Amino acid sequence: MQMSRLEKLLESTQNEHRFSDSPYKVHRQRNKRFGFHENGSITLKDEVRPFKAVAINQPSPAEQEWRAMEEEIQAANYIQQIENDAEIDDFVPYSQETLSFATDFLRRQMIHAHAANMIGMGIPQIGPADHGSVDLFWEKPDRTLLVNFPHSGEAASYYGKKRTREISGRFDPSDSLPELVIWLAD
Amino acid sequence: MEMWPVEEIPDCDSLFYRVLVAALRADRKPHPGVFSENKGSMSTDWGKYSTARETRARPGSPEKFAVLAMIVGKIREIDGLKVRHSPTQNVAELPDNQAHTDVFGLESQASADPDLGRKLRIRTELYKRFNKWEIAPGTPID
Repeated sequence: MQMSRLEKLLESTQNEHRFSDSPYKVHRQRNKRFGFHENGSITLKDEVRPFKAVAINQPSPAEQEWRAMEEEIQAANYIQQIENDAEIDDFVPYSQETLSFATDFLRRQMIHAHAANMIGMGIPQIGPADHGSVDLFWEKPDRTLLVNFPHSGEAASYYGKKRTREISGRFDPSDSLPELVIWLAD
Repeated sequence: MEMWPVEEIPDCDSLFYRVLVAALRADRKPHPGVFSENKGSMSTDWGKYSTARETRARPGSPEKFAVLAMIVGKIREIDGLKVRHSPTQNVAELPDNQAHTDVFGLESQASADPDLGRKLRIRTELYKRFNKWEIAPGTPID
């Protein structure tokens, strides 16, 4: 009995699957064995599977932003080591308490942002300022926001500027200011 | 010796401002917190009578400092700041320095209606104008 062209093609393909070391063909063989054809073409399954694996391991944008914030907070610990090497008469040492006011505020702001699905508030620079105070400074192409936490937990203050708008004010450093989240992320 | 006169500083001239390297972040870039007063003013040196290197070395231990150059006219653009040449000569506990120049106005005077964001605004404006080093941290000493 003479084999049709189609039958020959199928046979050669099966032999290829059986003996070839090509990863692509091995995949096809395994998929046939486990019945992956049920939901669609084999090509789609092979493409989707690694994509899903990457998606599970990849941190979400919110997680990435949170991690970047924690790295900045960690890096800011140097502030407590600064000594009065600049002949400043009224030098005030930087305390853990002041730094914590700033970093706790930053975490609360980030929680507000992510709770509202606002990604992109941005990570501020945490830096030392005068009289033992600590700054958070956001610098974006179209706006800046500077928040200052004085030594010993006095009222914090802020100043922000966009091209045509400015904001400023004071607040309890134990509070959060959701309006600043919106101001940074809108 | 004659006393040095107080001179008017042209807008196009530069002032050199010392910054403590230990107060910089890991990236060693300027930040708004580097602008602060000491004894009632920001203490700078006028470029007419000082180089940036001399400003860096003036207190000793130049390796501990970096230097920013600030154009006088750009400082005067900032609402609330004033520049005044104030050479120090025969002043107790201060070295003679003909270049010494004060920048006044960063700290506001107490008033009944304080501008809450004033100081932060001025620090932000200073940072925006002057954020490139004249002498970067870690620059070797001659």
